[in-house]
Amino acid sequence: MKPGKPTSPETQSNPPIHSETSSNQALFFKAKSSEALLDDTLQQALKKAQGGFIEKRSQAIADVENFDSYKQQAQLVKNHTLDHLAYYLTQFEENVTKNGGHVHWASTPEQLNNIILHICERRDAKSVTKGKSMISEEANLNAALEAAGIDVTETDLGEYIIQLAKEPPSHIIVPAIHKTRQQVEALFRETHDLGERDLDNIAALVDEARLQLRQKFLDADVGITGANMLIADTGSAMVVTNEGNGDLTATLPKVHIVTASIEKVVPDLESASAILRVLARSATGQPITSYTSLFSGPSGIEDLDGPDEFHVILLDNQRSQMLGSPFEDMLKCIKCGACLNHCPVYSAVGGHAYGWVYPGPMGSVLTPLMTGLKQSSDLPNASTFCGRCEEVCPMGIPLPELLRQLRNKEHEDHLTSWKTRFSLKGFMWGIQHPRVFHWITKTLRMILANSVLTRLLEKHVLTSWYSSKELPKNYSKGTFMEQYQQDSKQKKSKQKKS
Amino acid sequence: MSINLNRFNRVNRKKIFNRIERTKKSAIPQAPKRPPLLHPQFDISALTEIFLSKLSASSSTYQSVDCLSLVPQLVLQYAEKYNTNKTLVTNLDPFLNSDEPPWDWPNALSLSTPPATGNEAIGLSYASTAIAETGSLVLSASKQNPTTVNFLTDHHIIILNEQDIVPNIESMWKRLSLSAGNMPRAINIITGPSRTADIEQTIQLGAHGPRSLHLLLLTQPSPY
Ligand code: SF4
Repeated sequence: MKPGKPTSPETQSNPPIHSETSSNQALFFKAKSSEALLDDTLQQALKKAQGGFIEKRSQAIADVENFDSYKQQAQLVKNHTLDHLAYYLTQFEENVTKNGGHVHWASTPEQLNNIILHICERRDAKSVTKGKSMISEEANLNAALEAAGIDVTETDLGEYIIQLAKEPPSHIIVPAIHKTRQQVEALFRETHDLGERDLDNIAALVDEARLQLRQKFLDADVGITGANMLIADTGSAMVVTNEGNGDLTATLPKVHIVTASIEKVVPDLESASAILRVLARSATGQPITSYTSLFSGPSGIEDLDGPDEFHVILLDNQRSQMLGSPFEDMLKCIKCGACLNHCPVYSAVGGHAYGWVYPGPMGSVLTPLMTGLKQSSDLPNASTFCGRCEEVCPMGIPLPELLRQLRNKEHEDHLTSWKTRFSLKGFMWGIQHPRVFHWITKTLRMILANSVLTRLLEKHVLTSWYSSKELPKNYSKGTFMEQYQQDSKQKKSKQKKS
Repeated sequence: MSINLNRFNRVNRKKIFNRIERTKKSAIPQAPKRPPLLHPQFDISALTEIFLSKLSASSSTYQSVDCLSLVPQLVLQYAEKYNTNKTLVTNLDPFLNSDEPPWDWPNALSLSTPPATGNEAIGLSYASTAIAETGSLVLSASKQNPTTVNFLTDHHIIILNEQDIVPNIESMWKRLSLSAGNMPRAINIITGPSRTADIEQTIQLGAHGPRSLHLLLLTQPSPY
C-alpha cells in the first residue's frame, strides 16, 4: 500500500494473514512436537519455566480464604455477560462514544488490520508501539503494518524478544518462555548497537531493552494495546501489565488504539473486579499485577499528557459462531495461561508445536474453531485427557470435554485417518457379534501369554507405539468368558455329585 | 475528528449483531439484571495494617509522615538513597493550599513540571485512594496527576492520606464515583514498581516504568 493514499478498508488487499505463523502450521503438530522433544535448548528453557508457575499459583490461592468463591463470582459475571452479549456490546459502544472515543467492528482479522492501517494512514503514522495483544497476533497485524512501511515495535519484553527473533509467541502470557538468557543476549548483540557493554546477567538484559524501547515509546505516532476487559458501564478498556509498557503505549503517542475481541466485555467495574481477582493469581500467582489501568478515551482539555484520539476495534473472528454452540464455554476464557502451565503435553513440547498463536489446551480448542478443524486436526488429539487444565481453569471451562467434542466432530467430518476409521468400524462390528468377539479375545490372550509372540508384535507390527513401551503380559488361565464357563461347569458338576 | 469508516463499521456491526442474535442470546432492549456479586471483606479497624503489609509484599517501601512540610526533605533523602540525580517532576504544587504553602523545595532538587519527558529521575504524585486488599495505590489522570509521571520516571514517590484507604477493589471504584462521559482518561491501579519475568522467569524490577515505588503515608489529613 502506498502511504498517503487513502484506501477503503473493504477493498484493500493485505499480505496473507499469518505469513509466519501460518494457520496450516497446526497441521504439523506431530512432526513439530517430535522436533521440540529433541531440541536441547528448548527443553532446557521449558524445564526452567516448569514448576515456577505452578508453585506461585498454588501459593497465591492458598493465601486467600476462599478461591473457589472467587472463581464462582468470576464465572457468574461471564455467564451473565455472554447471555446478554448484544446488550453489553451496545452499551459499551454508546459509552465509549460518550467519552469521546470511537468503536470499530471487525468480523475478520483482515478487517481489523485494515481499520488500523486506515487510522495510521490518516494520521500519517511512521512508527507504532504495541502493548501485548493476542488479538493482533490472531490478525498477524505486525506483518500488515510492516508491509505498509510502518515501523512497528513490540514493547512487552517477551514480545520484543520474539519480534527480534522473528518468531511467534510460544505462551500467551510469557511469549518468550522458550528462550534462554544466552539466546536473548545473542539476539541483542545481533540487533542492538552495544559497543563494549556487558550483558551477562538478566538485569543487564532488561536494562538494555529498557534503554532501546524508551526511545521507541517517545517517538511513536500510534500506540496499540490489547485489553483484558472492556467495561460496558463506563466505556473503558482495562489493561493489565507488570512492565508498564501498556501504559506508556497508551499514553505517549497521539493515537491510542485498543484491539479486543467481542467477548471481552463485562457489565461494570464491579464485575471486572471479580475477574481481576482470579486473573493474576491464575496467571503469575500475583494477587494483582503491578499495573491495572483503565483507559476511557482521549485526553481532556485539562490533561497534560495522553493521546488526542482513542479507538477500540472489536474483533469477532468466529466468536459469534461459538456463542450458543457446544463450544460457547470457550468464550469464558480470560487468557490467564494456567491451563498451559499445568499441561503435561505443553510442558514437554512448548508452544510452537501447536502451530498457531494459541498453544496448550485452550489453543487446542480455539485454533480448530478459528482456523478450521481441517487445518488443525492433530490438536484435539494432543491431549492425554488428564484433566489438570479443567481443574486449574479459573473460569471452569471443561477443556477436556470440548476437546472430546472436537474429536467427535473430526470423526463426523471424516477428518480422521482411514486407519482409525477402519479400526473403529471393525471394533464396532466385532462387539456386535459375540462369537467373533470371543474368538478375537481368545487369540489375543494366547498371543499375550506367549513372550516370543509378544516381542514380535512389539518389534515388528506395533512399532510406533510400542517401541518405547511393553505390551501387557497375560498369564491368566483364559479369557474372562473362558474362565467363567469353566467355573460354572465345575460348580454344576459339584452340585451333581452332592 | 470523525474518520471515514462509518459505512464499513455499520455493515460489519450489523453482521456481527445478526450472528449474535441468531443464537439464543437475543438483544434485550432493557438492561439485564446482573446477578449480585460477593466482595471479600476485611477488618475495617486494621485497614492500614493490611494495606501496608500487602504494599510491602509488592516490593514497595513506605514511611509515615505527619506533616506535609516534611515531604521535600524526604524526597531529597530518597534521591540520595538511590544515588540518582536530583531531578524531580511533579504537578502538586499548584494544588496545595496557597494561603499557607506546606513545603519549600530545597535548592538541591531541580524541579520541573509535567508532562514527564523521561529525563527526570523522580516523580511525585498523590493517590486519591488505596486498596487494602491488594496494597495498591490508585491514581487518576488529571492536571494534578499526569500519567507520564507514573511511568517515565526512575523512582516514583506517592503521597496518600491514611483515611483514603478502602477495603477492596469494589469499594475503590465506588469511592471514585465514575460515570461514562465523566471518566478520567486513565486510572492507574499501581501495585509496586514495574517488573518483568520474561527472561527465564526471573523477576527483575524496573522493566519500563519506575524501578522503585515509595509511599509517604500522611497520618494527618492533608489540605487536598
Ligand atoms: S482456558 Fe481457562 S486456564 Fe486456560 S487460559 Fe483460558 S481461562 Fe486460563
